Amino acid sequence: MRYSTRLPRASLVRPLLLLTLILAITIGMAVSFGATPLSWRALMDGDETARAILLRIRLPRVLLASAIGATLAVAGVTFQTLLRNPLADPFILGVSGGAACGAAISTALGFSRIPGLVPVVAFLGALGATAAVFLLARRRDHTDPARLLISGLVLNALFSALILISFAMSKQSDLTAALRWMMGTLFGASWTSVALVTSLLVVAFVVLVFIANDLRLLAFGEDDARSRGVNVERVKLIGFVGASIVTGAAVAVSGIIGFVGLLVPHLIRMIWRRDFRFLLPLCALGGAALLVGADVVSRVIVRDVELPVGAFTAILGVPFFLSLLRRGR
Amino acid sequence: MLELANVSYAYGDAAAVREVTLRVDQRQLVALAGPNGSGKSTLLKLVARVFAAQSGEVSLDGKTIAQWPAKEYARQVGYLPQDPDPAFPMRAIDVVVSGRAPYSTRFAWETDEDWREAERALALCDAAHLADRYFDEMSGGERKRVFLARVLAGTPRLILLDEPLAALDVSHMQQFSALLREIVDRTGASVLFASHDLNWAAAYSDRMLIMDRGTLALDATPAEVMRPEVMRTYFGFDVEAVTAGGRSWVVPKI
Amino acid sequence: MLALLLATFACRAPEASRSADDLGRPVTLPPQVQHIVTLSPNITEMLFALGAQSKLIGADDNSNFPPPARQLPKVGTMQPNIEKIAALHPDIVFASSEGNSPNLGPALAAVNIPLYVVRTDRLNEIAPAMDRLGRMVDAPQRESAVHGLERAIAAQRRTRTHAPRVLFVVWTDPLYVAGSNTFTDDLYALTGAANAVEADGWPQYSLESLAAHPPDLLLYPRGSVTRAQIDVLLARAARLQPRIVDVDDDIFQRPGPRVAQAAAALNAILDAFASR
Repeated sequence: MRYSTRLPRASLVRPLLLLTLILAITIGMAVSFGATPLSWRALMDGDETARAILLRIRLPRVLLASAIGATLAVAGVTFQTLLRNPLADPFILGVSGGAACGAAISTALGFSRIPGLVPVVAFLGALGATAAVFLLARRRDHTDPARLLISGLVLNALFSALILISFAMSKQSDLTAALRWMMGTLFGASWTSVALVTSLLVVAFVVLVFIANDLRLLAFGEDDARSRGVNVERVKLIGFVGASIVTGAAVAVSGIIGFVGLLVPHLIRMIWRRDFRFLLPLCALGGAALLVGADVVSRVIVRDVELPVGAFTAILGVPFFLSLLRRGR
Repeated sequence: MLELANVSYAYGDAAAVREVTLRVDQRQLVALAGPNGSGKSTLLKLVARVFAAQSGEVSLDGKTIAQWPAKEYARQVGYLPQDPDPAFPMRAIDVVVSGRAPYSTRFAWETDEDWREAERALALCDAAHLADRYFDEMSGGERKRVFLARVLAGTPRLILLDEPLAALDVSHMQQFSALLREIVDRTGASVLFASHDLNWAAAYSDRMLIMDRGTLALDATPAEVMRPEVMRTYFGFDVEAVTAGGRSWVVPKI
Repeated sequence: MLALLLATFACRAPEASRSADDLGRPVTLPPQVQHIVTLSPNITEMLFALGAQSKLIGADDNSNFPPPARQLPKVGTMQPNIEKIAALHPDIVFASSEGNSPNLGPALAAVNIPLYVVRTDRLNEIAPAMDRLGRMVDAPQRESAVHGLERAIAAQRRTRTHAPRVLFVVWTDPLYVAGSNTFTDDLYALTGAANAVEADGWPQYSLESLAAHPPDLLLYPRGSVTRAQIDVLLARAARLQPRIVDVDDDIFQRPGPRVAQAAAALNAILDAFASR
């Protein structure tokens, strides 16, 4: 009975366990290492500073990294499936451009001195950009993926222009604030931000599970999916809006962290070439592990200093990607 | 089984299908022929529920498409688009088993029966050996067979194929066409396939529907269609009719 | 032919001297400096202090001190407007070592204007830089200004039995601070304070390190950072209760003739902290 070994439910178990293990190890390392060494003994003895560092600084940061990594990878695999384009990433539809543009303009106007305001504007920018791209790509009764891509590209170009102008008009000290969104950082993770990103991620994940079967069929083409009873327009709308909202929230908290959304789905697909229903949970775990790993490296490589985490997602991910590509079956 | 009554569809202002009325019964192998742009693909899409007819009715077993629940209809009607492509690397068996989707619920994984049907369909298409191969590493002919198996895995009663013979070499065309005949004979399903290769369409069909600028111009047997005056009228080129193997073939005049 | 004539003429005129600026870039200094454009507020302040303000014909947008500096034609900031500078016909352009773009020199060279970059990264570089500037522009009050500055700085030297650990916050999210080997660090050394930060330069600083090495005093520039931002930062860093003092951006962040004032202000803050 050859087919019984093909039960996808069964074959999902091993990759899930493997990636969960990798994520657990990465989180363990990320909690153990930091700018200041923490000894378990000190924690047990009730060293207040050590406790504060672990519970209020390091742990929220590690959890935020895993939530944002998972969000970006899940959004990436969703956009790639919806657009049927392996080069799509969470930022392709102008989500990042909109967020960064909102952040840059509000920073140039001096809003960055009011805590918490810029992330809100960044989030609104992300949503506005997504809505604009969607309206631009809308044609009669359907949304054309090719037009979506082009609209996203063009709007991103407009956003970078506006960002550059805002930069040029910003005060020196505000540039730091604006660059924060361009470079991406997990600095300042708090339990609030962890709760925000995680709850949105969970909602998005559940929604995506609901349409996972439809998305799997959509990968075969829109006409094909329609002929199989998939409400293609509804699935596209839910998928795009859901993925954009979580991406927007992630960008509003951490700024633009590149490579995770593009690299992780690719890596997962290279190892386990399966459909969307598999990729979704595997990408969530893989994205979380990659960003947690990149973050711990960026935090400890230079003493007391934090380096841009986005650079390390690439530094960690790219060699892995290239080795798979070379080995390529 | 399938009935179209005055079905029309236009892309914006450009009418693609005009007032088509036709009926396809069980156990029929029907070829849909006509020059490029005559509306063959659009007609198939209207039956496949890809588009909804802008006027007229498409009905199956006396119920209009709108009256059928989408998934229920998908079990009856299987559609193979012109350039099927899974977009991402996948095993052939995974491609085929996705054809069982109309039978499962939103959260269900494939059942043993789904895998059995998928393997059966692959075997039927002479592609069992391809099961564990990756789709992106296959030839055009192998891909076509895998995708036909995907359609068959859904055990449809009406099979719609858009240019199934394109990208196939002659031996595979032969194999594939014979397979269609076998499916019709064995399962009692009907096949409606679009093709611009008249000789093959004629050789492997019971009936030919000739489309001309969106209208159904001719509904006749292959022998009636394969005549020089028909060719000149509907396809705009001169042919010589040749008889061989008890069939008529047309050869373009050079 | 014309070029040849000009060349002969040039040879007869007082000689232009080839030299190098503080970064080692080759510069052809004009024989006499009459018209100056500055691209950095600390250099503008130095030229005023040297009594050479009459030669200033243009400055960057940030040059706001002393008040007459605001009246100077403005030529932009980090990426100044080369056309505007050219239209002013300066003999030389001065920029400071921090925050000038690498393509500035070639852009000015294309319109035959020499660029001299002055290094003022550290406290002990300020007076010598001012002295060099004074010589280049032939400033009337050079000696008195430079010696005055040196004396004023020296007058702020303190030794304290208990050196308070000071954190200078440049930006809060992400956290940028003044580390070691900076002009701010030199001010701490001068006034008998200690830097709460061990990392070099102006790093993006780890919150964990901040929590592990809590400062006694936190300074922030009131023009670019607000108290609300500082409060958010401290809430994040957990259990930190430093004394928080806001300082003037320009005095504390400009390595110019007002460094003595910065040192004096810092001494006052430290004295107040000691007698709390």
